[in-house]
Order: sequence, then C-alpha cells, then structure tokens
Amino acid sequence: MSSAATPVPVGARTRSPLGERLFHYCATAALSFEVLFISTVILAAAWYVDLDDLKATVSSPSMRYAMRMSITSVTITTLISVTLAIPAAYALSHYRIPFAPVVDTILDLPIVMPPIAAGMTLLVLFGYYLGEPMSALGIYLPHTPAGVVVAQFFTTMTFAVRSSKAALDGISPRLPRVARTLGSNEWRAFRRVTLPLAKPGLIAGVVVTWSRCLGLFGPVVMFCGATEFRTQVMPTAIYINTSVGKLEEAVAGALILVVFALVTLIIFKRLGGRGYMW
Amino acid sequence: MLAINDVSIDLGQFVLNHVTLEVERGDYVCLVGPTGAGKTILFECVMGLQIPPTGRVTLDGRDITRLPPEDRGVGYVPQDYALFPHMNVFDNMAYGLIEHRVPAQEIRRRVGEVAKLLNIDHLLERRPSTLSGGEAQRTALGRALVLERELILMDEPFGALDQVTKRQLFKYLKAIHAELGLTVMHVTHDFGEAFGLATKVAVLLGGRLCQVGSVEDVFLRPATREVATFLGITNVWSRQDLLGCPESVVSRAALAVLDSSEECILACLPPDSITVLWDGQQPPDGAVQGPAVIQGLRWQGSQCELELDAGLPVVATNAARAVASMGVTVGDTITVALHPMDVHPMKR
Repeated sequence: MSSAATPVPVGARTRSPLGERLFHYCATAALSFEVLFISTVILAAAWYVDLDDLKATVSSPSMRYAMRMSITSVTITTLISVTLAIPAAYALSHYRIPFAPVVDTILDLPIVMPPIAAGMTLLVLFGYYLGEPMSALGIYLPHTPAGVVVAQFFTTMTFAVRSSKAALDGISPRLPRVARTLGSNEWRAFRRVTLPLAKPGLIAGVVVTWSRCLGLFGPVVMFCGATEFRTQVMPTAIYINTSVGKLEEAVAGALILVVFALVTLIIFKRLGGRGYMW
Repeated sequence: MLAINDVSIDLGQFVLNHVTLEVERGDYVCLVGPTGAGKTILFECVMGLQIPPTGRVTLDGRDITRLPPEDRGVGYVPQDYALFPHMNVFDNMAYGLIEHRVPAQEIRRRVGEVAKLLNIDHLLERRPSTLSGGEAQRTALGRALVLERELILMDEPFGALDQVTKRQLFKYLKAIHAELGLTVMHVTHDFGEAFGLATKVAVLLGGRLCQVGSVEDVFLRPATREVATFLGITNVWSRQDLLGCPESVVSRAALAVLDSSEECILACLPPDSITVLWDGQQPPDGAVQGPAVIQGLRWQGSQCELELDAGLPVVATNAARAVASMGVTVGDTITVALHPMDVHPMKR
C-alpha cells in the first residue's frame, strides 16, 4: 500500500536520454535504409542501360506496339473504371447499403486476391462459361486486346472506387444537404457542390487507377497471354524480353515504366492525393 | 402556418416521440433542449432531410411530410453555416436563385439588396474561408433570405460566435424578423437567446415536446419538474417535502397554493422571485418572510446565486453588488421573503 502514497515524479518514464536517442536513431536508420534501397534498385537499372539501348527499345516495333497498347488499354480501362467508380463511391458514401460489410469485402477482393488467380477466374468465366454464348454474338474476350481491358478493369476498379470514396468522404455531407434546401435536387447538389469540391481527389483517383493499370501483369498474361502485336502490353513485353535473353531491352522497358510511375506519383501528390489509397 | 402533427421517428441515437407543434405566421419560435434531445431531427423532418414514418408536417395547409427538401420552400441556416467553400459570398447567396432559374439581373438585384440589409455588401467577392464568424453567419442567413421564404429554420446560428458579435447579430435578426415579417424557428442552448428573440418557446426533452408557450410562460411557469430542471430551476418541492417542514418560509407560501389545486403535487419557484430583505427591509405586500442560512454563494457576473437553507433547500438570485456590499458569507443567516403568487403549482 505504501507505493500508492509515493508520488511518481513527472516525466520519470521518459527521462532517458540514451533510450530516446537510440529510438531516434533506429527510426531514422530504418527510414534511411528504405529510401536508399529503393533508390539503389532504380539507379542500378538506370546504370545498366545506356542511351543507345533505350533508343533501340523505344524504336523497336514490338516495344512501340506494347507501349501503344498499354497506353490505349490503360486509358480506356481508367475511363470505364472512373465512370462507374464515382457513382458507386457516392452510393457507398451516402446511402445505407444492405449487407454493407459483405459489399465492402467483395469490392476489396480484386485487390487482395493473387493476380494469377484473378486472371484464372476471368478465363473460367469468359472462356469456359460465357465463351461460346458471347462468341455467338461476335464477342470473344480471352487472348484479345478487349480482354486486356477486362483484365485491367477487374483488378483496378476497386482502386477507382476507393479513391473516389475517399475524395467524396472528405466533403462535409452538410453541404449537399444545404444545397437541397436551397432548391437543388440530389443530382444538381452533387454536380454543383460535391463534385467541384471533390475534384482534386477524384482526379488523383484517376491517376492512381491509371498507374495501377499500367503495371498490371498477372491477370493480363493469364487471361490474354502476351502475343506480340496483339495482346502484348509493357509489363508482358518486359517479361518476354527477359525470357528470351534481351535483358537490355527488358530493363529499358522497365525504366520507361518507372518514369511513367514517377510522373504519375508527382501528379497524384500535387493533387493532394493521400498515401493510403495505394 | 407550419403544423407538425404527431411526428415520431427513431434513428437509434436520436428519437422524436409524438411531437406536435403549431407555428403561426410571424412567430419566432425558439426550440430549446439539451444535446441529443432531437432538435436537429425535428428540423430535418421539417426540411425534408428525414422522412418521419408516422405523423404529418404541413406548411400553409400543404402536406409536405414526404416532399423532397427542394420542393418544400423552407429556408435553412445550418449550425456551422455550411457555406460552399468553392464559391464566393455572392455565388453562395445566389445559389438558390440560380437553382430556381431566376434571371441574372434579378439575382444581382436581390443578392445586392439582402447583402446591404445584412451589411455584407462589401464582402461579395470574398471566399468563405476569409470571413469572420459573424460575416459567415450573415452570409448563411443572406443565402436563406434571398429566396424570400416565409419560414426560416436556424440551427444554433450563434453557437460559434463571441459575445460581441452575438449581440450585434441579435439586433440584426430581431430587426429583420420584424421588417420582413418572417416566421422563424431557431434551435438554441442559450436561454438568453430565447429570452431576447422568441415570441414562443418550445422545450424538447428526450425526443418529447414537453412545453410550448410564451417566454414568460416557459421560464416562469415550467410545465413539469423535468422542464424546470432543464431550465435550471432547482426550487421544486413536492407536497411531502413541504409538509415535512411546515414552519419553513417556503412551506408557508407554497402549501397554500398547492392546497388550492388538488391535482398539483409539486411547487416551483423561480430563483429571482425570492427577495432577500437586507437591513430590516420590508417585504412586499402579501409576501411571507422567514430566516435562511447561506450555504453557498455563486457569482455570475452582475448576479449572485445564493444557496440557502430555509428548512428546505432554496436557491435565490440577487444583485451581486447588493450581496457584496452587505458582506454576507457562508453560514450567515439572512431574511428572505416570497410571495405565494409567485409559486407555480405543477402536476408532475
């Protein structure tokens, strides 16, 4: 009982300069290691490739096709994803969704499921079950450029929904409510109040979705393969070049992707994007 | 004008329980109640942001219970003003007029007029983030006023303002209410606001509307012990309390009142109706006087609250200057007088 009467000196637990400094050094060392590791890996790739390799890669017809295919498919996927994501995010953010935890889990599934599994499930649905009926209508998705878009959409639409939801959640729900009392219907309140305020966050979401799509490999290669001048995108082109021993071309392709990623990241940060979206 | 008829809604944390309230044209109704009493939900039911499963809301005889907010024609000034941050003051005020497709020239005229009335005509180009609390409040009020709606709901409009700004806006609001003939419902926690502005006070406790009446009615004659307690009136005694101490000055004044009304079992006395008789001062005609021992003194600006033991616990308020000049302190015995006419009998 005597211990209860003994006053504990203020700051007694924290008065440990050595422990404090050690903690400070450990935290800083961990951070330095991570920054150094990432920079070294990228710089090593940059060091490995000389300008001629880079020029050759950029001018090779196969790589040029892959780049064109990547940019086209990724842009189409992003447009579809965001067009669907904004209303979906609005519903998640504003309405009472029945079985909300189940809906939430299903939405997150494409992010956490292994990419190979994502590609395989797409193949089963669009190849085995829907292959024939869709072919009868003149549509066949596996191993086609359209299939690339489907594979990218399946895996990255959740990013678009999540980033759009984060942007919409950042807007006070009182603002559109007040707009309603001033005469706006729900759509007008969304268009005149919520949308302009959420715009930077929504654009950041577009950028995130675009960059996620650009690097997608597993589902694309499983669902569409990597046929040259047909379904080959940048990541699959890099993989094929590595497997046939064209290491310089593969690394140059990887560097191009890194540059795209860096530009995306800068745009994302400039628009006030937040880290947890990744 | 506005009739809320037997409205009930259960949102889990907040409920409304068979609320019925009539607001006449030109009324200024202050809705008072503690946090979580359901004041904001009641507003939301009137505005159309909540649809009550039972009950009806009518505006000028038109059933608006299930109408969306944009079709109700009710003005709203929210608690935190909720100005649109991406628009300047002019665009904020013009928002509703644009939604109602009012011609641009008319919009400029009406916004200009209301801005002048509220003394914010020099702020029209400014963004909300650059406004002071009082300016933001006036902009929010202006945004509701330009639509020329007869019923305006204001949810704690002075909540975040300092005393000086609050007093200034008080004056504005009172003048505008009279000048434009508005009907206002105003949620507040501040009884001073209700005293200063209301023509009618409605007390909402735990989702139930416990009393509606004039300012004097509610503050001097609370309907129930619950209302009295909420209004800060602790001088409520049961018949048993009074009979237990019949020689007390309180019992002598209150028992006669209770005896004349068999239904009433509680007696209530607002603290400012108890007169402290300093230096042999004479009591008012018909008043009963007796000794009381000071148990505590609470200084509240120009007023002093005296906790007294007059056989029964009593709280009295008196001018702080008088209490200070008499030099009384805890333990001193003073003489108090109270008039039976000031005793308010209550049924529950």
